[in-house]
Parts: sequence; C-alpha cells; structure tokens
Amino acid sequence: MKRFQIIGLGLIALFFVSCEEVIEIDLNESEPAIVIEALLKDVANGNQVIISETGSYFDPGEFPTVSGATVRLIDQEGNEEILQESEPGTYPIVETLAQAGETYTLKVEAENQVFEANSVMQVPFAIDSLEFQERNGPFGVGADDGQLIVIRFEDPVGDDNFLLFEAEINGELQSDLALYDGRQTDGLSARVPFFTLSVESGDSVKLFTYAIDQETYDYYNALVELVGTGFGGGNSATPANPESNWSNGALGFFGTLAVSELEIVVP
Amino acid sequence: MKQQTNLWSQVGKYSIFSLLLTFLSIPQIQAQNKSLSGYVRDGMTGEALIGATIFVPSLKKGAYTNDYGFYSLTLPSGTYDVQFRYLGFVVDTQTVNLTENAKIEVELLPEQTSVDEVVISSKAPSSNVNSNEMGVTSLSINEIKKIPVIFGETDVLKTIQLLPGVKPAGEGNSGFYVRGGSSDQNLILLDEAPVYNASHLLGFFSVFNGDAIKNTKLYKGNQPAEYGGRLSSTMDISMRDGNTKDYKLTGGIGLISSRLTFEGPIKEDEGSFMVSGRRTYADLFLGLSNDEALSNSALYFYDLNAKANYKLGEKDQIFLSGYFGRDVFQFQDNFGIDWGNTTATLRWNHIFNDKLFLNSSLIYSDYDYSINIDAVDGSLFSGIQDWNLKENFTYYANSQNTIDFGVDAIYHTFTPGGFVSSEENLNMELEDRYALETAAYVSHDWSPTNNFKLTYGLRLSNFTVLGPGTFYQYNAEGAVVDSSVYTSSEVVKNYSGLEPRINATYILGENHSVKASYARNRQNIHLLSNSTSSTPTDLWIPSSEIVAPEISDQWSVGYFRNFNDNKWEASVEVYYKDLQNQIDYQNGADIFLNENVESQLVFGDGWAYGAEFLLKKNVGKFTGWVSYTLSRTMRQFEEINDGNPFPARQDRIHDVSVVAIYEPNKKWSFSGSFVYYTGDAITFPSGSYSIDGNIVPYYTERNGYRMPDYHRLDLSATWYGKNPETNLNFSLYNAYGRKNAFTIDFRESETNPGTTEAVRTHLFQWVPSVTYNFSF
Repeated sequence: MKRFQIIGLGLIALFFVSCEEVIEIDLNESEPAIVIEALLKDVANGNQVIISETGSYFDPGEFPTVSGATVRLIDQEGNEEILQESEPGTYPIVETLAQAGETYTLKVEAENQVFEANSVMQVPFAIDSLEFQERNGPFGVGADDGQLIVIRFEDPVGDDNFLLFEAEINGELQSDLALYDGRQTDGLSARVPFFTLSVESGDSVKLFTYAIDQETYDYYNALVELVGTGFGGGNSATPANPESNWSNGALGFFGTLAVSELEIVVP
Repeated sequence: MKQQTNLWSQVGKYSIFSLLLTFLSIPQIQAQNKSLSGYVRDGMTGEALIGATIFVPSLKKGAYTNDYGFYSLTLPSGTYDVQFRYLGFVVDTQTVNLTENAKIEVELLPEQTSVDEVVISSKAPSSNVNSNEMGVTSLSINEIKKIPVIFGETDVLKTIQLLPGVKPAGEGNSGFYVRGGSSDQNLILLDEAPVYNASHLLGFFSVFNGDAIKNTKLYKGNQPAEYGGRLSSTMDISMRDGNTKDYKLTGGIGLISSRLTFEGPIKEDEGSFMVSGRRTYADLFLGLSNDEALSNSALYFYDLNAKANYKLGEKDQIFLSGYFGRDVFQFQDNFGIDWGNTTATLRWNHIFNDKLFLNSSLIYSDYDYSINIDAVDGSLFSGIQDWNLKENFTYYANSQNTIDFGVDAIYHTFTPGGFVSSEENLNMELEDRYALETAAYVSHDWSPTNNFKLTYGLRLSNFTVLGPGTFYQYNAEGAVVDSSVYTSSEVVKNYSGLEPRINATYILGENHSVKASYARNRQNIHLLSNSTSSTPTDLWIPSSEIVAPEISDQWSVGYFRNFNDNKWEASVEVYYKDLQNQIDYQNGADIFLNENVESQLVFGDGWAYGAEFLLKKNVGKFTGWVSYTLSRTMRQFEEINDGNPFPARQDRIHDVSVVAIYEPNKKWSFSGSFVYYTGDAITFPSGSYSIDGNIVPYYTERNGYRMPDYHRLDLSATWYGKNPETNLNFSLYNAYGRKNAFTIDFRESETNPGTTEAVRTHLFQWVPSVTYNFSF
C-alpha cells in the first residue's frame, strides 16, 4: 500500500513540481529616460515633484537624480508657483493649496526637454467603516496569519468614483496599495479587501483614502499589476509601461489626491 | 469601400455561376455516360474507408471516397478494370461492364503487415502529387499511434504539431499555431461538432482519445468552401463507426490513465456502435495519503466517446455520435475547478441517385467551466453553446466535374460568466450574448485534362448579433458613453462577406506537380485568454459593434515531388497571409468578469509568411519524415509599441521536426521524434526606475526579446504480441533532459539583495511511461 502511495504522489509531483533555476539573460541597456513622479494632495504638507532617470534592470543601485530642472505648477486661474530644488532631484510644492474641482498643470524643463501634465483635484470621499476578517477561507491560501482589513462604504449612485487606499499600521506607512473602481458597483454596498496586509488585534490602523480621477486610477492599476507580483515582467503575457499623463514620453505620473483619513484600533 | 465590396460580390456571383453552367452543360452533349457508385469499406471491421481511391487505368480517371466511404464516378459505357485501393489494404480489381448505372460495394482486406509493407499513410501512394490539395495534412490513426508522446497517450493534436507550418503552443499546451495565426484561429471539429477547448489537465492531454478516432485532416487555411469560421485552419477529426462484423473489446492500461473501448454490430453489416472511455487515476492514490491537504484534493479527467450508425435501406444511413468529457481539480476544501466539452452529432446520409449525395447534420456543442470557492459557497462560471444545422450536397456530374454546395447555420449562446454565492453583495452576472452564424457555399472540382485540376468555390458568410441585451458604446478612454437595450431576437449588428477559395494543380509529370491557392476566411468569434497556457478560464466573445470580424487572405504556391516509386515524398510550400482586425489587449487590460471587456481591446493588422519543407519516407523498415519551416508573423497596432510592427508571440523563425520509425520485425517497433524551434517572442524590461519607493520595470518595446530556443527528443519502443493490437509500449519523453523554459520570471535576488535575477521554470525532465494495450 505504501508503495502505491509513493507512486501516486510521484505522479502528482510530475504535474506540479516544476523546477526553478536562476539563469543569465542578456537585456539591452536602454537609453536613460526621464521619470517624473509628482503628487499633489489637498493638504499642505508632503507635496513634491521628484525627477530621476531610469537605470539598469538587474542591478539598479541608486537611480540618477535630475538636478537644475525648472518646475512650475500652474492652477486654473493662471497662478504660478516656481518650485525650488531642496535636495538633488526633489522639488517640493510649498505655496499651492489644492482645491477640489481645480485643474492643475505641471511644466518641467529638464535635460533640454519640456514635459507637461494636468490633473483635476477630486472631492474627498469618506469611508464608513473598516471590518476585520480572520485570514482563512478563499483568501487564506498561503497568506500570513492575522486579520484581513476590509474597507466598507456605500457607493454613491450615478458617480463613477475611483479610490486609492494606503494604510499606516502602528504609525508606520505601508508601501501596499489598494484600488477601487466605482464603475462596476455603482450604488451598491462596497467591500474592498486590502489583500496584501495583515493586522493583529490591538494594532492601530490609519487608512488614507484618496479620491482620484480615472487617469490616475488607470495608472496606479497598471503600476500595481506590474510591481504587485514580485518584480513583474514575464508574468503578464504583454507587460507594458503604465500609461503616463506626461507629454513627450516621460515616465511616472502627475496625480492629484483628495485625502480623507480613518483611524481604528483592531478589536 | 462599400461600393467596392458590392462590385466584388457581383463579379464573384456572376463568374461562379456562369462557369458552373458552362462546365455542366458540356457532358450533356456527350452521349452514353453511365455512373458507377457505392461504398468502400474495411472487410475486417466494416469501417467506412475515407479517401480510398477508385481508379480506371485504361482511362486514367479516378475518384476518392468521401467522409462516409461513398464514391461516384461517371464513365462512358464500356467494360473496364476498376481498381479499388487504400494504402495498407490489398488492391481489389473488378471488371465492370458498364452498360447502365451500376452500384459496387467494395470491402478491402488489410495486407498482412510484413517487414517491407509497413503502413504509415492512409492515402494512395502518389496522392500528394496528384490531388488538388495543398496546405493539407492527413493522418490516419495507425500513423499517429507509432509516434511517442508524453505519458504514452496517443494524441492527434500533439502529432499534427510535428508537421510543417503547425507549431505547438508550448510545453503542456495542446493548443497550436498554424502559419502564424493564433490558437483561437483553428476550428477543431469532432464529427463536425466544434470543440472549443481541446485540452485536458491544463493542456497536457488533448480531448481526443486515440482509440475512438479514425482519421484526421488539417487544412492550413486553404479549406474547401464547405468549411469556414476560423482564419488559420480547420481540423476535421472523424470518430470510428464501430465494427459491423464482430464484438470487440480493446483497451489500454497506463501509469496515468486507462482506456476501454467496446464495439460491435447492431445488426451485421447494417449498423454498428462504438463506446470508448478514458480516465486518469493518478489522483486515486491521493486518497491514501496521510497528508490531509493531499487526501482532500483531486485532479483527474475522464471522457467518453460514443457512436452508432444504422443503414435504413440502400439509400439512407444515419449516424449518431457524441463526446462528453470533464476535468476536475479540487484543492482541499478551498476551491475546485470543473470544466469540459459536450458534443453531439446526428447525421443522415441520403443518396438521391448515383450522382447526388446529401448529408444533413444536426450538431450540438457546449463548453463550460466553473470555479467553486467553498468558503463563500460560491462559483464563477462561463461558457459557450452552439446548435448547428448543416446541409451538404455533393453532385458527381461526371468524371471531370464534381460540385459541392450547401448551407450551414449556427446559433451561438455565449455565457461570459458571473459569480454566484451565498454572499449576495459579491454576486454579479454578465448578460448572455446570442448570435446566428449562417453560410451558403458552392464549390466546383474541375479536371479539364488529366494534368490540370482546379477547385474553386465561394462561401457567403453572415453573422448576426441578436438581442436581448444591453450593448454599450465607449469613448477612446474606454469609458461608457452610451448604451442601447435590445429585445429578444432583435438584430444588434450584422456582418456579411464573401470568401472566395481557389486551388489549382498542374501535374508536370508522373511524379511531380505544382500547386497554387488563394483563400479568404472570416472569423466572428474570438477567444480572450488571460494566460499563456490553455487554462479553462478562456473566454469566447462574438463580433459586435466594437469587435469587427477578423479577415485573412492567404496566397500559397508549392512544388510536390515523389521519388523512387513513391517511396519518398517531398514538398515545398510558400505562403503569404494578410490579417485584418486582429485583437489584442490595451495595456493593463482587465478582462476577468468585466462587463465592459470590449473597452479593453485594441484592433490592428498582421501578416505572416513562410516556407515549409517536408521530406517523408512512407515504406520500408525505416520510415518517418523531416520537416522544416522558416517563417515570420508580425502584428501592428496603433496603440502598441508606438504603432510600430512587432513580432507576434508565436513568431518562431525556425521550426524543425524529425520523426523516425524503425520496425525491424513483427515483434518490435522503435520510434523517436525530435523538435527544435526558435523561442517565443516575449517582452522583457530593458531598465528600471523608482516610483514611490517601488522598483518598476521599464519596457522599451513589445516582444523585443526571445525565450530560449526549445528542443526535445522523445523515444518509444513497442513490443507486439501475436495479435498486434495486444502490445506493450515504453516511452521516454524529453530523453536527454533538456530544461526547456516554461516561463521566465524576475525577482529580487536572495543572495544579493537589491539586485534582480531571472528565474527559469521548466516542467518536465525525463518522463517515462509504460502502457499495456489489449484486444479481445
């Protein structure tokens, strides 16, 4: 009997035990491209424009920063703020306080090229509650112990709202993101699980909800898909760069985020 | 554009019918023609022989039997020696005194398989040179059974991939690419019923059980006007009819699966039946496991083929055949996947007179899958269902002219899917879609001289998307801008078009010929696949206001030559194919349970070209073939790769297959097959950058890199008992243990954090198997 069992397991193993090996692959070294990462929130602090360049894929090290750029933020009325470089490649936004419904334009002159992008500030969106679920059942396969954070709210009728979520656990901001696309569940009770995070009873969870426009949603959605599965590349049949709103082929994105917060201690 | 199409159709209609009238009127002037018709069957089993040759040496005229073994030949009155031949069978010569229309039913007896008379082709010896067919591959099951495959299972789909112009979709994938087309551009028919997902166990096996199959024919885009609906190929698989003489039990016991077939006469020489089943049982051992995770899991498939036929007098015969297969995969109590095909075909052959043959078919096909998630007591599901009615007439006008004509109507129901569970707020269900696909066709086989043959035809195809349902319009960003609601059977969108087909053969001499062909094909149902392997979650969608029909035009020419008394066959074919309205995904597309899936698609063009070489040895102790294909296949989409052309994933520049079979005596047979092909085109990053502290790969072009080249050698040895149907087969898949890349992924290096490394996953290194086949 024991022997049959071993044969059976062996056969199953043939199907599922595939072997992994690290191999050498020659990738072309691309010409460096400009990356402009700009976030403008409707709160005063922490808004900045970071300009850098692409580097090698296998051994990126430090990415080169781009100094000496001229960066201007212009609102709908034509008011202009010229950003000053605080450290190499970082240009903080200090004067502009973004308002819902306004269109903001960033103009960047760097490395003898001009790049431009627009974004419309949305109205902040408040989340009703957080729910915590034991990590078992369909979402439990292979996951850590602990509890899953599920974000709950009522989707307003008629609006296609797009949301981006970030979380701070015990005062530490997590790099994980969750996204919500209101087109699919217009007017229903929505539940968005934060799949990649686990919390324990007694943890303090601060959830940041950012209302964003569709372009920003599409960008983050593509970004999460690309970096969400390890290092991306090769996993998707047709990986591509997330579509940027910068003119002139710059990578990165200019997004406006309308912020709301909710803090809860895990019961 | 519109005017052009109309003009085309006018010209097309006019020329086809005037030509037909011209040719058909000729025989009326010649007096005293009589017809000779009947069936050719296997004398041992009563199985109808498809493609057997009827030949009159004194006139150098002949005919082939059709899919039901029927032939009809018109000759001037007189006395003739008529040869009936089918390779592997003893030639039967009958003297016929043709003073009036005659019927001859012929039963051929198999040759004793001796050392120098090994059967590996079902065709007449020189048919590759003489028949007016190119881009066609025909394999009999005897031929297929000699070639080693994984886990020792005879597999028509895997074997067909060893021929030029046909390429495997990858390790553990029964999908295939024909002449640069994608795998959803192949129409796979089992007794005329379309099979929508031809794979078992995620593609390691095909759904075609070798014991139930009689014949396989693959048209690489130049299909006769009778077939349509896919751009790249039509694969026509016929099930065996069952023995009309004796009851017979055959089977096979293997490490992975076992098979059993029972067949016999319903009434001797009047009708027969065949039932054949297969099941894998590797999972039965799981139940014995102490590990709960394994003992509650399951992984198996089973399938059942059944067929029956009965003669209703001299002029009528009915056939009923069906296929049912399911795959089940259960992982503990967490989730399970369950998928499969069901097909059924009811056929009625009617002979109006010696010259007019009609086959009517009523066909049903269903493919569906469901993924069960136990924790929420829910399931995800999707599928497609067809009802199809086909009428095909063949008119054997005279020995120079044969006309095929008919109509075809398919009613499709597409179930894009949904999720149903006990938690209501998770539930969603997408609307079903309905479409009617119809076609009318006519095709004329004309042999004006003994050296020249022409087959030309026209297929008028029509695709109507029907209500009920809500249909959306989208703007350039993919957002819904408008919607329209249609009631039941209301026409949402209609597409129609003409598909001209032409094949010409000029016989240069006894053993060589040149052939040329042109064909247009239209495709109205499209597969959206969210992975690279043949997973059950692939989604079929119909053409719509947004998705236009895919169209291909293929031109090809070839030179065919046989050597050494037809012992060696050689051919070279070159082709060029132009593709319109090809489908790809937008960057970051989301196709899973998306009501607006059409907004995620982009449309573009493609082209493919190549040269196919084949050298084949048909007789002797040593048989086999070498095939080589040199080809390219490109795509161009405005939205992808900055609008620049890029190679399709299946752009494999070099593709080589070598098959060798050595049969030293009646006891043993040895075979080997070797394949080599250029790695698939793939997108890899050419750099990286930082966003919000994440390292993001930077892509510079679509499909700009290559997977490593693929190559593999398989070996097999078979020992035969006194009855050759009792045998023991040993096979070794991937004999030299090549680690072929299944996927290449990138991840952060464990040994050198902060850097990235490439990881290759390979599936099979050395898969041995043993199968015992028996027959009573």
